[in-house]
Amino acid sequence: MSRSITLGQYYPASSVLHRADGRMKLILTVVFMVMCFLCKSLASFALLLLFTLGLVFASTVPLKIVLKSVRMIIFILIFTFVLNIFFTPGTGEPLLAFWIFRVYKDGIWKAFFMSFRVFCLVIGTGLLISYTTSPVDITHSIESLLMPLSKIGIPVHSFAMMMFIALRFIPTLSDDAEKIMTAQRSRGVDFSSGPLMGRIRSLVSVLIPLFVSSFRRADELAVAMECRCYHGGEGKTSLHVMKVRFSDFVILFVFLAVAAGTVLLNGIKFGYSM
Amino acid sequence: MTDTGKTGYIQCRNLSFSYEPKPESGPVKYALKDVGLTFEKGEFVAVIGRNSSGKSTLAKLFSLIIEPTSGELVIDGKTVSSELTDAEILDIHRKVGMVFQNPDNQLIATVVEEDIAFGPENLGCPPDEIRRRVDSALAAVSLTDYAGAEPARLSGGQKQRVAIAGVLAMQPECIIFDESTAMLDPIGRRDVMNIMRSLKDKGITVINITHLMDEAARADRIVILDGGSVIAEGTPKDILSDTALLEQYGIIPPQCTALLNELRKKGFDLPSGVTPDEVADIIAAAAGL
Amino acid sequence: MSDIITLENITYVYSPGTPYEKKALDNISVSFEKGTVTGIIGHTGSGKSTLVRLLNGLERPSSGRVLLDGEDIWLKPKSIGKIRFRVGLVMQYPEYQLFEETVRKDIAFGPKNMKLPEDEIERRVRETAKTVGLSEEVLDMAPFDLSGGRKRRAAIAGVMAMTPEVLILDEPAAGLDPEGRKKVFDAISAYKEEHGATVIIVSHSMEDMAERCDRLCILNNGRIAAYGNSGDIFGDPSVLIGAGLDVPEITAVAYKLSERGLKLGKAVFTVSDAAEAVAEILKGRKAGSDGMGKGGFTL
Repeated sequence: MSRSITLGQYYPASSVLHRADGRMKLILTVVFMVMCFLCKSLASFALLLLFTLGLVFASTVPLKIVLKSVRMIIFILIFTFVLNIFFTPGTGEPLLAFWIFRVYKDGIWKAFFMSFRVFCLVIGTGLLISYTTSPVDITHSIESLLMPLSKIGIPVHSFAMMMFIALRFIPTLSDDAEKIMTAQRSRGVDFSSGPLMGRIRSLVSVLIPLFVSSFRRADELAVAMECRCYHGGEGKTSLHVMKVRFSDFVILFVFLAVAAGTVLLNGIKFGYSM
Repeated sequence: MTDTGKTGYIQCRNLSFSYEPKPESGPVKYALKDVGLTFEKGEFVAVIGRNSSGKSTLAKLFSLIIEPTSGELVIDGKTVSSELTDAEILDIHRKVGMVFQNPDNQLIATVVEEDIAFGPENLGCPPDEIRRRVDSALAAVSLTDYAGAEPARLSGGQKQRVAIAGVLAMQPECIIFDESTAMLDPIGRRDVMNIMRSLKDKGITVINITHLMDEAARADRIVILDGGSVIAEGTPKDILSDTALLEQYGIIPPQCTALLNELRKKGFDLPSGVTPDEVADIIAAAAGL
Repeated sequence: MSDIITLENITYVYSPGTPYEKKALDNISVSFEKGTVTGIIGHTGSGKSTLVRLLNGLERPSSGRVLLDGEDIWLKPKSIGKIRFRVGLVMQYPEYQLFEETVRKDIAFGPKNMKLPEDEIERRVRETAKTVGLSEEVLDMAPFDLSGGRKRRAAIAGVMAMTPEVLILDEPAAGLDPEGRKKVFDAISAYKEEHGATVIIVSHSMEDMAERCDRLCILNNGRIAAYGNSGDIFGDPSVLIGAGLDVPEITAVAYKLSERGLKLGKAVFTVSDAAEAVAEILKGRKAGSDGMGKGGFTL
């Protein structure tokens, strides 16, 4: 029974973002991150929120799934919020004061802005990379972007191949682990209770066979690759040629425009600005 | 240039291999000893033998994982030795494809068509050529509808067909199946066996290394290895009705031939047959129908 | 004879409530009689692996009960571990579970988990090694240095050493050569004889099943397509074919002969039975024609 394990959070679909070139998406991610940190005023944050929502819409990934990734960082959000609210020095009378804490109006604004920034950062980068780009594409894209480094002797292809194969074998090995655990449970191993030493010993009964099987798999895979004429990255072509299309530039333009927009909107000093 | 004269596609002459050619004590133990074999172009041959008969060593020699300790191995006119250039090795790998036992350990990509493209990509084919090869290889193993599937979601038999397609995309002249059906269920096995036959019909040399007698019975010629040596060679009918040979080497023939052999022991003079149809015909004829 | 293990209206659903939800077993009821060898046959995805995992409590049924000696094994979920000592499961390619430095230690792993006294463990290891045909020297070797066939038997011994009343084996001989297959099946027979155990074998190999099993249970799409004595099942190949399975070659020959008008009398599914039956027919024909000839002569 081969269960398929979804690696990362990839959400298969064929939206504009899914179809965009992987390398472009990596660049867009950087642009987006910069954009998040450029926001300083209420107006620019509003634009950022609109834009992030636009990305969610464009990706066709259900909002519910997108918000799941926020749940994972909820503590970071709370921490950012609390830190900013209590430790932002302000002018004038504090709104609240007890012990060593002073809460100023500025603090509340800043806490709000900072958490909001992290929130958008997580959703935006998630949408650009994890949700719309398969791990394999990410590998290929990183390889392609870093290719110039191979000119100075860095084995980019080998590293990318290693990463690619590691990703490919995670589900296989996790299947192996599950089978070995079942076998050992059938021999009376209890993985969930018992004294600590016993549980460590139980782990050994899984890890050793797992290592043995990984090495066997690696060995056989190496032979199979060689038999299929693998000889490193030299002269290797690809079925799918990564091509930056016109639409990718359109997306890039949109991103740059929004980034410029946030900078402009920083000028509107409505409410609060950092 | 040495003129090898009239040779087969793969030719072994006094081929020997030892995993430990210079042991610290005692005589050299050979995994293969003085093997002389010829595989003609376009032939469908089964190499059978029990564990440690040397059949997997033979497969490793053919796939250039190991080099002969002594003797000669010639593949398509090229003598296998450490003197082969990288380009020559690559060329042999392209011409002689291997399909191994465990499909999980020979599929490289996470999408079927990308896996099949791996060989042609390594050969440096241009993208449109790769696309053409992938499509025709997929069609040859009847998996066209699965081009975009994840191998992890396929059955064992389907995975093995993807592996075959991956080899086909390199446009090989010979495909060696190294116990490729051992992990499959009956349906998967049947599919893979049928593909072997269709490859042979396309003119590809097919060598099926197996320990399953009923698979061997479906080849055109059987080679039996035991203790590192060739002990018999011949058509399935001849080999499988040679009860003395089978008994001497503990080979269990497929039930069909076993039935005929058993009947011969009881004093009935019957011709040889391999498939249930043939055997039923033979018995019916003997019964005067 | 009484039933040792019974499945009562078992339904098993995988990943309920997710898009991958799948009914692996659909309201199955079946009993395994004490001391029999039952074969479970079904194509990939027929539900046989799930069935096997339910029998020793690795999975809990979505509904229905698994009875061992008349008692629901999930009555006390906390002590389900004890059930696994009574119903031993040998998984596919069990040699992948070997991990100790020596074969001896690996076989002792199960009994140790049962918290048996040292001398009893020692006794069981020796006894089981004998059952599966592994010599004393092999016991002190590292499991990874053994040949494929021995490795397999060492792993099977690891389960046998817990002396389960019911021994379940999933494709015990897969990937082995004929000699290795025979040794594995001989070991299973020996264990059954020594302990009066009930054996359940899951396999694709119709030939092996025909030869080794008293009973056969055919699974198809999560339901039982047929259950009965081997003779009855192989006597009617249509059920097997309907479940997407192969029939043993001998059954195929018998079927083809009956199409040509030669009935072999009873269901045959082993080579020697078939040879016997065919010889009978051929002799009959010969005797008939000889008799006629002779008759003609005397007239």
